[in-house]
Amino acid sequence: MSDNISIKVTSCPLKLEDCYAFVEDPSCGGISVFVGTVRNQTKGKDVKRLDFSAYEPMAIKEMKKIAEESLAKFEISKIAIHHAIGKLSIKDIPVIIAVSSAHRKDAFRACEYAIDTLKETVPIWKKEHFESGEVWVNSHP
Amino acid sequence: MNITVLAFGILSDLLENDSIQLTLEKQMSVSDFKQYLIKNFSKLNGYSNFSIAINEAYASDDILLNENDVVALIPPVSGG
Repeated sequence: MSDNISIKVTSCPLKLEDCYAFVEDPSCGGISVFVGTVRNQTKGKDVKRLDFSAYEPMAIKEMKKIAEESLAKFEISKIAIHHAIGKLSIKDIPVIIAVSSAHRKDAFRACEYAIDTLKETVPIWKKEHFESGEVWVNSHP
Repeated sequence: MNITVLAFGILSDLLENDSIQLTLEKQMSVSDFKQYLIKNFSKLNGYSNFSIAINEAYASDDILLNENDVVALIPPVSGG
């Protein structure tokens, strides 16, 4: 993997400091970070926990593609995209995206582009567990 | 023609399986294969809201399946 891209899919808790340390760079004027967190409600129903599963080798390829596209589209130096799988509780962190750039705008834009694209293309699925049962998110039209 | 089918998310629940070996009578396109699945796997109960990936890359409807392909059934993703 190129030295300006960090991709990870893991069943261990994600570490903000790892992503931050990876993208830090002397040439950069800013670092933009998006941290996804598990919310306690969906459409008014209390969520107990989430369960994330992935088609791991393809997820890594798609995440790498997003990182490469981000580097091509925006004036950024480094990008980290880390995603957790397995059981996550309220406030846990399923995803972190960190981007460094010389000027802030490109870091903000790349960060938004990366999370928006991840939600559309990366083969990872979450199941929401409620008091009354469980449901695969997005699976019913 | 032998292929491996991987099912994820809601599709692994519906099929009660996450990996199936299939022998196809003839070569098929991705769209033919989707029709074949919906027709032959009653457990899917008509569920057709999924994409296909071949060997870990999204495949459009006109792509042909080949011997020993790993064909993944990808329901709408919900990562992040």
